[in-house]
Amino acid sequence: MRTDRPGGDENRGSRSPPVATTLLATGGLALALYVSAVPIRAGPPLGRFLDPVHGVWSVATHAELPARESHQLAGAARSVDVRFDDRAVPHIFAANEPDVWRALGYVHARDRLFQMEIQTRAVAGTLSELLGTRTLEVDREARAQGLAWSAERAFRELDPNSDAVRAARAYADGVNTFIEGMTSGDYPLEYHLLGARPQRWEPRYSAYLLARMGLTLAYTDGELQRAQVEALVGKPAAAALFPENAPIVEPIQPNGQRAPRFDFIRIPPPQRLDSAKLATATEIRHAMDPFGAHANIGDEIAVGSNNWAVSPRRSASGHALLAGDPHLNLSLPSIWYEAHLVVPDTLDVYGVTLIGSPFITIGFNRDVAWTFTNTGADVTDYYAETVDNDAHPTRYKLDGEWKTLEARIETVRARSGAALATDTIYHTHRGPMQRWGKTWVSRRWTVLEPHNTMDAFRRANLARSAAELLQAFEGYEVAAQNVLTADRAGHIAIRSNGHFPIRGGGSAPKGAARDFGRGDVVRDGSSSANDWTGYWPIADYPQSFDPPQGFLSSNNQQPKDPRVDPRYLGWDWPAPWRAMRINALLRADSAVTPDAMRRWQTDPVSEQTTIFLRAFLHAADSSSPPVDSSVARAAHLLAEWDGRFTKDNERAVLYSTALDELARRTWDELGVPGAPPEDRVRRVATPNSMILAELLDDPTNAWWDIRSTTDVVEDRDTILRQSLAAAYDRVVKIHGEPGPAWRWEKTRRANINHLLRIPAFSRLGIPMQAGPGTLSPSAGGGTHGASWRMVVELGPEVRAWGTYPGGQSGNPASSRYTDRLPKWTAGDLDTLRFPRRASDLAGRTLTSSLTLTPVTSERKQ
Amino acid sequence: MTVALRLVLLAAAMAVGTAAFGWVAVPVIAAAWGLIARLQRGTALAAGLAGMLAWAALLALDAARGPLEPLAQSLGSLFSVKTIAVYAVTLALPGLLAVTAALLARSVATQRS
Repeated sequence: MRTDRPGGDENRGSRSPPVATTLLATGGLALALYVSAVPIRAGPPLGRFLDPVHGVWSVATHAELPARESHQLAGAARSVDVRFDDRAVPHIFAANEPDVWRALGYVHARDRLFQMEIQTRAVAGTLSELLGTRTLEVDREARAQGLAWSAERAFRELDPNSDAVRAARAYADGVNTFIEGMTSGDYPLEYHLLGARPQRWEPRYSAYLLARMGLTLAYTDGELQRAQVEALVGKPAAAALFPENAPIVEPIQPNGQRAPRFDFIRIPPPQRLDSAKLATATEIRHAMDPFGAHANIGDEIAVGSNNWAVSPRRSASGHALLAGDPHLNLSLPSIWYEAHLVVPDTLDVYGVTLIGSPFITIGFNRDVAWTFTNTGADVTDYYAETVDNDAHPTRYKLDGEWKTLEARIETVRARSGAALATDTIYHTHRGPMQRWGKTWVSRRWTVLEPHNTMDAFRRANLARSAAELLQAFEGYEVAAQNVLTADRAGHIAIRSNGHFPIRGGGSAPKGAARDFGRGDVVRDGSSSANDWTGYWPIADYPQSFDPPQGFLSSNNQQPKDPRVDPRYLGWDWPAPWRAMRINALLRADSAVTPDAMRRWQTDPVSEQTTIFLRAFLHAADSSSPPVDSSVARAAHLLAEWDGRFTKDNERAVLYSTALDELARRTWDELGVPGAPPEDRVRRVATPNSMILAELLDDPTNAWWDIRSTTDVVEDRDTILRQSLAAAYDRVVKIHGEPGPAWRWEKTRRANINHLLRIPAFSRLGIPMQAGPGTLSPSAGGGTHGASWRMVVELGPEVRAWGTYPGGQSGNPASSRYTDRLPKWTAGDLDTLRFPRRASDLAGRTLTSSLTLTPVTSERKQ
Repeated sequence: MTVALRLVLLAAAMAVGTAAFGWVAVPVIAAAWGLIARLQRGTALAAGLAGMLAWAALLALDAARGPLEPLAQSLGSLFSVKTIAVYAVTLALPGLLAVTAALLARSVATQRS
């Protein structure tokens, strides 16, 4: 007998193999079948995953665009010609609007299907069905917020024959046509990793998307943090640290000033801590945000959007120019997808779409361009409710009468369908109610109100002038945005657009309210007099049309000068450093070019630096006796700094660290109670840098004193010197002696995470030309940044340039996954192709052609 | 029929089977092969090689249609292994399935006969 490997099976003739061989084969096969068929930990079963035809390897086969293909498109009335240019942008030529929306749904699904599903599930609170129990709490919070619930209600209330509903349905047709034509080998990579399959797309999901944007752009719980600050340092100080009106006035609506106005006041000293009040406020806040995921008030990480426009008389070409760069949380794939939608004689619009939406969100057509920044208005209010039963409420008190609570049962399920958690969400007439500590609090939020924002985008896509564009956005309700527009006739205009609540007066919870018209306090829910009584009339919105100064800009700052209109619109506005910088650039240049606008989008200068650098150097100079060596070295280094946050700069890191040290020392009174003294980083909230600048004007203010040093009273210059010394020592400790190791690019980096935060599919540690207060600010974890940059020249032929961090494809294996990243990092823009006819794209400019034809049986009918 | 030709035909059957029915076709075809060729030498080894050959051919087809190497690099990075290991596991799996299935089928068949 001869036995071959493996297992000695090779028995010549019919002699039986040894039992050991049979056992070995049985065990080996069982093991192989087990790893092939059964998921191991969170991973997929290996058999299906590694299958070259149906598994993960097939992802490579659809990573690139085919030169030419044709598919049927359910619901289409006529053939649709989709031409992908050399930047993989689809130019969709259709005979009617519904077919354009269908085709857009199809190409969105083809390039970004997993993104569509994950963002939909995030709103609906069904992530656990895809990702397992790790997202259970996220799902529960999403359901408690009621975004999907309100979006469904809003969508149901729309006229079924309205353009918005028709568009959402047509778009869903396109998405589902693609999904239904897929085999498992066509699934995006993430589905292979999760062992899942795509879900169908429902028209209402487009409304979910808008709700999600509302969450991103218009959700603040600052009232609760403010309550904590008040408990820590008293009401007068809290009001000055987080003021209704910005102390540096550079509003969006021009006020005739030729320079920013500094309305500095003396910040009241911190009062004694109110322990009982703080405990309550902290309990409520912790209950509301158990993961500490919500940004603190004063954090300057999430905002940075800019837009500006110049009228023809201030541009080199004599045409209106517009630039925009909305800053958002960066992700791969990007939130944006470029597209060009054409229906002859009706629609010809180019720009970026949100995945899940059938319209161009930011862009331009043959006549007009538009872009947004976030307004940051206060559109959320909280009400402390009186309920009949703390544990299981059924009624709440309003004007002395008990009202019945609506109850909504929300069950989060696993993929198997098993219930993971069931919650009862109560609603008052204001909105969903949650228990925060011992208090039941309901929330009214414009995002949860019925609205028809989708229709506004559809009308904007068709606008023929800046005036028409603004008219289209009169129907835009959430989330409040500063809409900037310019047209080919040379008009420029801006309006802070959205629903701004008018708040009623009435009683307030004991010790809570000071100003009934404001929304920065938790209001008493037992009185209907505290309810909203309506929304601002559009005529009162912050706005401007063809201002005499010849330019307009917005950078998330307070929209109106409070001397012009003192009404409450919000509070804790971001510092206007970016507004000051861009307005200075615009005032100084009466012949602006598109290229200058491109450069300004990544301009490395910060107006903030001018103020703080001067203060640091003055403090170092004014010391008597002479300063210690670290201060002297730091001052020497900063004195020779050009104030620019370029990648190769070797001084910016010292300045940035000194500013951080300054905030640590100055705001020590705002430290989290109970935290060890050396932990000066964690604060209940941090006043933004313009408040710190305001304090610089008051050298002996009690806020400069460090509470823990009871034997000495520090003043401004002492703290500035201490900060300089500490910064120098810290930077040397981290980076070594001054030199190339101090290059700014080693410190300031962008981190663009994959949607599932998979490092292999993320792009991390990207060096950036950005600093605190620059037009392209970068702070914190580097996860926020310019999500889209665009410059448009409104001449006889509209010309435009743009880019975003990522690429059109959501497939990590595709060359189009991150192909735009190099230019985005360098601050460059691509020329955007804007052909009038499909045939204008040919040869080198054409990558792929997709023909979508009506379903044959439909065509016969 | 030469050994090489048998191997190629078996691999082709497994490739077609994978395309039609997925990975499960590999052990099924290998088991069938173990029964049919139970009297021949190298039955299990041939099945294992054919499984690997079949998936290697299918991977080559994938590579011809798209960027396989960047995908392999991403997967290697994802699982913290070298790129070559991703390929190796992909080819080892059908090999293991096929060799054990063929071996078991042959063992059972010869014990009964």
